[in-house]
Amino acid sequence: MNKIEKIFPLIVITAVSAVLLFYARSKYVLSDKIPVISADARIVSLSPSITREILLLDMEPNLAGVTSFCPPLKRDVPKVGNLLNPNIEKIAAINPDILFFSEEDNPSMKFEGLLQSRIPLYKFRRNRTFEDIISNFIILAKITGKHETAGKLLEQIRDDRLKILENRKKEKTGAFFLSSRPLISVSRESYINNILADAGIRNIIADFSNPYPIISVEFLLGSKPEIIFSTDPEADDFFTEIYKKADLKKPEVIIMSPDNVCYYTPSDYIESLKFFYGTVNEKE
Amino acid sequence: MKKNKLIKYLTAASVLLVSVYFVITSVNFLQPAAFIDLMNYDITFKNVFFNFRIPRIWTAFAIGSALAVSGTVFQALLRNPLADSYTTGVSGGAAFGISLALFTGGGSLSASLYAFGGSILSVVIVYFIQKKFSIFSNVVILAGVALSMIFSSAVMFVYAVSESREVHKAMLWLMGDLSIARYELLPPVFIFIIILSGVLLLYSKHLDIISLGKEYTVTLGISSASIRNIFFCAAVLTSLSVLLGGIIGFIGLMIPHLIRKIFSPKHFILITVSFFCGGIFLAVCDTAGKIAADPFELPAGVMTGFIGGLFFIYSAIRRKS
Repeated sequence: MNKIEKIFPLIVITAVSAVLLFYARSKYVLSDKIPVISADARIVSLSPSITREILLLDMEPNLAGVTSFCPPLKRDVPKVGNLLNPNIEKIAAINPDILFFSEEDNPSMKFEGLLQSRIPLYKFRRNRTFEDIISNFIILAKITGKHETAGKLLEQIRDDRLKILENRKKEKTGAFFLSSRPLISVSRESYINNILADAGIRNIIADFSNPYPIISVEFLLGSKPEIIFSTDPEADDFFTEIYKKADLKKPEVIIMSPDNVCYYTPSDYIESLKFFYGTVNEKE
Repeated sequence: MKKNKLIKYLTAASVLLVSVYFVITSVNFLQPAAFIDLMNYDITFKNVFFNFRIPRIWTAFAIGSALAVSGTVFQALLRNPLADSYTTGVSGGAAFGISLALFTGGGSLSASLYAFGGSILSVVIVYFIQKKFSIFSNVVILAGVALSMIFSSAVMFVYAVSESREVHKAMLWLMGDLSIARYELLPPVFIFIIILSGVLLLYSKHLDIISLGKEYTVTLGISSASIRNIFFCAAVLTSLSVLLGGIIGFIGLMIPHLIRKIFSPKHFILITVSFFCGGIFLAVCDTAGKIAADPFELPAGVMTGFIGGLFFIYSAIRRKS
């Protein structure tokens, strides 16, 4: 008894660790196969961008659940939580034919919960470039059987982009900020960097591995951007203050609406591209 | 006096019954007939009930039980009514473990394992400190608090250099969100929780003596090995709860206080009743969190924080008056 009492903690920790390691195998693996759904399938979308793409494909009646961040819809579609914290029980109660979500904006821990729930789902890959956005949109069209609608739309978008790329003038250095306090920017890991590049803006914060890095004021001042874009309405005051303090010439600061740039759909990409391109070239 | 006790027991039993009913019928108070109808005719309702509601209730019960029992034990062991299962820095260690899991790009399962590892690490550190100074020294509590501070700085460092998505993922976990619990871990972990609670029940007489102070403990022959085993059992119980559902505060603090007041200060009764009440309390909090801001889910840790905080303010005011 005494001996057991002496090594008791060791026994407990070893036993617990051994059992946990035995159970520590993920039993839920998502298939890479692209599913195909019927024309009247009920869809739950956990990503505002995917919801916008569903609207682009004229499939609004198929939406059976969306997040509270999704764009306004013509009819009242049940909300299933927010972008980062979907309510899994609520989704299961809707019993959808398919659930869409994107690696771009849903944390993987909830994703594992969704996998456990056995709800049929498709996870869209991250969007780092224009091609990624197009490829994800084509996959959505394949799943929903809306190849024709998607084809026409993409043809127009590709033409518009090509025109902008051909007419691009000289390159400017710039940066894009989602927030000014803290300075949340975008790197080459984000699709927004690709829009900037297409518009002829060389992103001074491109070389970060984090898609939305928080950078220091010193880094920004040292990088000397010629133009700054931000969706934060208070950004202009912030940049005026810091450049004044540093006694440096303030770059041009453009406050833009988050209506397009925060969504990774083909049409939002092209609208944002037109805005960036227009702003840069207007000033030339 | 007897009548008063009877009223107390009846009230407690009614609260428990209503709580169980509330948790089972989940989203709203369904009439029993309506509930049975839905179970018979609505397959989706039935699936959601058995595949989501029941595992989640069990998960909440297991976590609540573990936290309440370990809280009871730590309050006796450290002879401090404000001690709880996280006093040993277990939560800080778990948070640090999750942050490391973020770095390695692991999913929720590896986060759970890292959290368990982190919490055990902090328990071992505190254990060696208590070995040097004795469990009756305030150094143990101070060391636990200091460890928590060190670990939280390490966590903040990781957050500062991580992707915002990853930070949010960790935040949900640290808030004690049971919707991300891995239910497949529940059976083995629950068995361990029952076994460890049983072991602590065997030590209940020791705990009665330890809570009287150092002199009684030494005079009545409580060995240091027994104290160490009690300490480890309680700490591992906390780690297991962290592993299942993240960091959920106040249960280990509030439930033992309530039970001691309503039932008895004897540890056999305290541990037994805390086990059930802690479990049911967390299941109720989790269910309330689902209803409070529907369709959003409030993590159970947020609910226990609200209720626990209010309870302590109320207790403090009542004691003063």
